[in-house]
Formats: sequence, structure tokens, C-alpha cells
Amino acid sequence: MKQLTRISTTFALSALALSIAATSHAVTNEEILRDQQTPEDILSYGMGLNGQRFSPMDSLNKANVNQLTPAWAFSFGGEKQRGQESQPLIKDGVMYVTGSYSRIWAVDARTGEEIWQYDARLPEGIMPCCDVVNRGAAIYGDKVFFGTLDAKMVALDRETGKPVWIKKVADYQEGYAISAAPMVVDGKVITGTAGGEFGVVGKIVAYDAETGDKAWERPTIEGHMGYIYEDGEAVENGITGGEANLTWPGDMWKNGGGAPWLGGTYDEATNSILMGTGNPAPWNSHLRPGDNLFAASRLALNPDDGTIKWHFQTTPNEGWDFDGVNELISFEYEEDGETVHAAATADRNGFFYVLNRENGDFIRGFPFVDKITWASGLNDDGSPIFTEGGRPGNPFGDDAEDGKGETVFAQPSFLGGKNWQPMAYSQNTGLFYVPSNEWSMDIWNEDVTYKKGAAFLGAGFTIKPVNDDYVGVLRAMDPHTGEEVWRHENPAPLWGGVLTTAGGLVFTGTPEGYLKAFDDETGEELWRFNTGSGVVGNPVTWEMDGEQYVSVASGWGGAVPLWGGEVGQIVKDFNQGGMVWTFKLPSSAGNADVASR
Amino acid sequence: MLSWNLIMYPSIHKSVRAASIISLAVLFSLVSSKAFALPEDIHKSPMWQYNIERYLGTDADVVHTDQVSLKVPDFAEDSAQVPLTIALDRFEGDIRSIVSWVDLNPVPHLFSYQPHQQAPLTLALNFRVQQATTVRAAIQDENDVWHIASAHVDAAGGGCTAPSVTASNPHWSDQLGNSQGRYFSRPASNRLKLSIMHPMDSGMVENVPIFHINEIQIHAVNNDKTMDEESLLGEMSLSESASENPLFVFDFAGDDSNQYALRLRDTQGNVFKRILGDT
Repeated sequence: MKQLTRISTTFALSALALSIAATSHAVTNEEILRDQQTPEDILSYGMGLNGQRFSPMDSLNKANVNQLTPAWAFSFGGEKQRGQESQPLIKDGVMYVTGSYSRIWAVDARTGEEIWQYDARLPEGIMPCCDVVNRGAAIYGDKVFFGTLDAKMVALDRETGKPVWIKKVADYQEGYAISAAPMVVDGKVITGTAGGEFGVVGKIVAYDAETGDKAWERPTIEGHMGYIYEDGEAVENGITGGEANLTWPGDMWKNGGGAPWLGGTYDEATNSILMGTGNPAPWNSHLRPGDNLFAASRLALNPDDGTIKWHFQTTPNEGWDFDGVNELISFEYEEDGETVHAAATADRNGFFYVLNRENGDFIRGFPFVDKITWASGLNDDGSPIFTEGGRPGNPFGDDAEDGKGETVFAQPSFLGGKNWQPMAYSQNTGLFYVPSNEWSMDIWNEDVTYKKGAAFLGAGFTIKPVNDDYVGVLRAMDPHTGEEVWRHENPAPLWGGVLTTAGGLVFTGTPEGYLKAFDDETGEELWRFNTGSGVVGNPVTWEMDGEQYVSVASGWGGAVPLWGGEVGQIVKDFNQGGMVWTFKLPSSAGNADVASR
Repeated sequence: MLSWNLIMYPSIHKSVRAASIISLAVLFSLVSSKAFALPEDIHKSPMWQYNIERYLGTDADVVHTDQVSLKVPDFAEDSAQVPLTIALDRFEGDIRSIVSWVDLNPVPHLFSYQPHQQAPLTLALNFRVQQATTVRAAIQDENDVWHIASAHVDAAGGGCTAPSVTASNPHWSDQLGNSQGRYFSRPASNRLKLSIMHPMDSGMVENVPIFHINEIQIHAVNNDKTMDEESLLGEMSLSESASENPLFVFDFAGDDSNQYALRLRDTQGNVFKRILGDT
């Protein structure tokens, strides 16, 4: 046989390998920063990196929303119909939507036809605490990014769905997972990690979007070293909190939790990633006297190197599983003739906080739920005024029996006055629309020791509803006065995100299966549609071919059916699903104003 | 493409310009290649013509060959692991590319191999069979003629849709990509042998997404370990018909190369690299 010495030009290697010409253009950082102002696309979780979930579109409005009609629906298929907490993205007429079990689809936004699907091949040993959810993807350049339940970050070619790179963010066997949507800031893909129930140390990691090379890594718990990466080498970049044992006793910081499992937002004005951290581990706070920084906190980080600029801890020495992960939404307001660069968050612990996002200073705070048992209010610096006897009893104290501390009644429950489901801020009304819940719990503490990959709680609990006829409350909150402007009660707990628009509308879903639209000033329900399974996803709206569209993922699941205790009775007959629904006005009804714009 | 050339045909008569000569040449090659009749399949497979058109094209010039030995067992003891050996050392042409398929599998394509610096003398791997079937290897020579070697394997079947052994191992992800490899220097050739832990999920088992190695590069790296276009001996694309925990064998003509690198990538983007040979 003759030897070949030529270097052949690349030939179609496989008859199956199709090369598809690029037709969509690369997404730039500037486009992502302008996301909120460009209704024809949705490039980020939060419909803008500030996380406001506010659309400037008004062609769909209070007058015509009652005619909103399905345009298409798309099934996620398979037998993997679990909680669908995703937020779709839209670019160049393509929807990118994620689903349970770390799956992602590209769908034709005009027809609902599938373009490609990517299923992560998950190991059997994944340890998601609270259902196998995924909350969404990020777009940058010619790629789409999402995190997986085995704690990997995947970059896919937007056109083909083929992987470009995949990186292990953390070890899933320690309990790490990724359920949050990543964000892209200045060419870096930034993700948090979940796993606080397993005693992992929370960390935030950034990758170069093009290459997948790690850029930096920031642990969230005091005492752990952060790193930046230069030419693939880890370079020390300062210990989180300065040093160990300032606010943690002994070795407890080594498995201190603080998982930033919900990702974050980005504020361009201060060039800060604003990300919250979960509960300190274990749940039993008597094992870790001290504030336990930076668990149950909001952090402002430099996106270039992951250094922490400031922190605000909502629940020091947290002992009720009041994670501090909830989204911190940047907004501006005028006071005494000056613009205040503020940020607001509705915490699991039942308090609503307004912070100065330039330095993390507390501006004001107030309860957004009907009752808070564990604290009687907030001090001038925003720290809670703890109620005596509000904390579960010490299992090592005099009152302990059979290794169990005294059981206490606490409200809100550990699933929080508000959980992961993001609120929305209207630039028109200046109100925050908060998907909240009224529930309580009995909770007690017991001893626990850390074991890799095992639950690290040291607590027992059961959730109970506090009202006969409702748990969920969609609230319009005034961030200046703390006034609840209106409320809409729902029998089942609210577990889906909120969207608000310049058309005077507030959208959210219910576990009963409805996507609903409300009047942003009165709370009057203007429209509802039954999607066939519980809506725990994030509704979005965008413009295509001169018409305003609304989409939401449907599929009941999430933490409530797994952890809901007696609330489980309310939701036990809700069926699972896995769909994305897309709505618009009939072409003849009320789009004249769009055409004339 | 063909019809377009036919429409252009009258213009060639009007002016004999360079461009037209090229068109004419293209036209003749297309027309003439169409004239090649597909030889009869000695195994009488119902998929003979269909798979040739699918993987080699509708205009492929196809001949049977006895210069290539394609070895499979008469009967597949294990339908999920059927050894295939393709010996190319007696092939007399230049090898442009190699395509192998399993006629009656749900996804018949097994692999395509693209030589760069050097074509292999032997290529072996295991594949799955869904039912008794004919197996093909098509070798494209420097004149774009496809030389086809065929063999039949009898089987109980089910190899493509049975759950993988790996999937029943809860710790498979710890062992993913673990490999054993050796380099053998032989009188006439160098042999590379690599087995790698990978579930190679076909996507045809309920609730298990497709997950298999789909790209392999073989480099002659010698001592500098740089893997680039210069060092690339060949590339292989693998499809769903390849077996779980695959074992690959490649023989290359003996020359100065004493160190080889294999780079494997799977459908989820995981990359596995292995250096074989003298270190």
C-alpha cells in the first residue's frame, strides 16, 4: 500500500456531521447591557442584567390583555416532567429554554418547532436539594451557556446545540449542583453553586466565554482563599473576609454553606455583580455561634476578579434556613433632588430591604409578610432585632430532651416569605411586585456532624399554612413607604417569577396551572390561561414581527411538593408537566397601534 | 447540481471559453459518474443501495474489493460488543477516506475515518448490532472510487437499545474517561491500542440521553507532545453504533514515530487525551 504524505484539507469527516452556516450574529456585551431597552430580544435572566423584569413594551396593555391567545406550545417531552423554573431567552427569532434534568432546547420563536435539543448525561448520584430544576441560560457571542445538576458549565453552539466546551465547576459528590441561570458580564460567564444543605462551601466562578478557561473563583465563606487564573495557573487573590474565625468558631467555617445557588444580577453603574448567599451550614445555629459571614448575605463583587466590594447580611447567625439568595434588583429614585442608586430585595426572612448599592449601606427595611416571629424589627443598620425565644432551642442546653432542643413556632417558614421566584420592579409605578407566601413552621435543632455528601442540617421541621384559604400572596410593595399597595391571594404557594410591563400589566403563574395578568395599579385580575400544569417558571415578553409576545414555562414541581409539610395537602393533586407556552394578541385585535409606531 | 449543469449545456456549444470548459468537465464527471452501475450486493441486503447513497452519495462510483479484509465473527455472542477488524495493508490505492456502516442498525453509520499524514494499516473497534446484518467498509481511492468490503454477522440482536452496563453502575461518572492504552512496536508497523471507559449511550434507551465519543484524533507527537495540524495522522468520527467502553486498535507503518497521542471528545464536550509510546 502506498503511503499518503499529503496534508489533505479538511473534508466532511462524517456523512452525519452537518456544518450549518452561521446566520445569526454574535451577541455583544453592549447588547446584553442594553437588554432591557431592546424588546426584540431577551439576552439575560431577569430581562436585563439589573433583574427588574420590566418591559418597556405597551402594545399589550390593560385594555386588550383579555384577548391574549396562545400562539404555540412546545413540549419538553420524555418522562422527565418535573419542576420547570426556567426563563426563556430570545434572539434572532429563536427561543432558548431550559428544563428539568439539565436539558435545553432551541425553538423557532415563530412556530414553536424544535431546532435542537441538548440533554446533559447526568450521573445517578446528583444531589439537588429541591427538585431537578434549571432556571435558564445565558447568551454571548455565538454560544449559549447553562449549568447542570452535576455542577458543570456547558457552552453550546447556538446554531447547532453542539458543545463547544464543558467545565466542572465543582464536585457534585460533595453536594454541589447548579440550578441557576448563569450571567455573562464583559465576556465572562459567571455562575454560583448550590449545595448548602450538604455543607459545601459556596463559591462563585467565572469563565472566559470563548475558551472556557477559568478566570476567577470566589468562595463565599470567611476563611477560604479566592483565586484568579493567569495562563491556567491559580494565583491567590485574598481570603474571603480577611481571615478565618472572625465570625465562625473552630473549624465550622470549613463546611460553612453560604451557597450562592440563585445566581445574581449585575449593576452597570457600579460595575458590581450583586449575588446572594444561602444559609450557613448546618442549619443548627448553636453549633456555630457568631455572625457566620458571608452566609445569608448579599455580596457586591468585582466582575473582573471576583473580589468582594461590600456585603450586607440579612440574618446574622441564621438559624431558620433563611437563605440570603433572593435577587437584589437595582433601581433608581429621586430624593432631595438627588438620584439614589438603590437596590432592593425581599428576603426569605420576611423583611424587604432597600440598600445603597454603591456601598451596601442599609437605607430602609420593613416586613413584606403579615407576620414575623423571629425578629421584632430592624435596627438602624438593617440588622434584625431578634425575638427572645424565637430561635430553635439549643440541643445541648438545659431544656433539651433526647438530644433535641426546644421546638419553636416560626413564621415565615423555612421556605421563606419569598423563595427563589423573582419579583419585578415597574419603572412606571415605582412598585415591586413580590410573589410571596404566608406559612409557618415548627422547627427544632439536634446534633449533627459533617459527612461528605450527606445532609448537614441538625434540624427537624414541618411547614404549616397559617390561613385556611390561601398561602400565596402576590403583593405590590412601595419601596419608599413599605406600604402594601395591593395584594392578590392564591390558594397554593406562589412559586413562579413575576413580569411587569409598561402596558400596566403584572404577570405571574400559579401552581394551579394558570398564567395570570393583573392591573399594576389595582391588582385586579385581567386575564388567566390554564397551561395544564403548575406554572413555576418566569414569564417573559418580547416583540417579533411588530407584535408583542408573552412566554412562560409550565410544569409543576420545585421545593414545595418535596419540603412543603402540611402545605403538601394543598398541592398533592397538581399534575406534573413540561411545556413552554407562547401567547400574543390575535393579529386583528389591537395591533394597529404597533403597526403605526 | 446535476440538473443545473444540464440546463447550462446549450451555452457550452455557443462558446468554448475556459469557464465553459470547466463546466463541461464538471458536467462530464457528473454524467459519467451517474453512468456507473451499482454492482450487485453479494449479501443481498435490502439496505445496500440506500446506505451507499446516504453515506457515499448518489453518484458514487462503487466497486467490490478483495484488497481489504473486513473481519467480524459469524455470530455475535454479545450483540452489544461485536469485534470488527479492517485490514488495509493490501490496498493498492491512496486512501482518501474510510466509511463504515452496519446495514440494519437503527443508525447504521459506525465511523468515518479521514487520513491526514498517513492512512492506517489496520483499524479495529467493537460495534453493536440490533439484528443480524451486513457490515460494510468503503475505502475511497485517489480517483474517488469507493472500494467496498462486506461481511455478514448473525446475531440475536438488541445491542443498540439494551441499557448499557455502565448505566447500572452508580459510580460510572467517576470512571468516565479512564483508559488503558499501549503502544507496540512491531517489525512492519506500530500498533496503538486504547480502551476507554465510556457509556457510549446510543440515545435509544428510555430516559438516557445520547452520550458517546464522537470524535477521535490520532497524532504522531514524538517527544514534543504538540498536537496540531502537522502532527495529525487522521481523524475519526464515531456514531451510535460504536460499543460501550470502546477498544480501538490502529496500526501505522513503522517509521520514526515512537510516540502517539489520541484525543477523544464526546457528544457532551468532554475531552480525553492519552499519550501512547515511548516517554
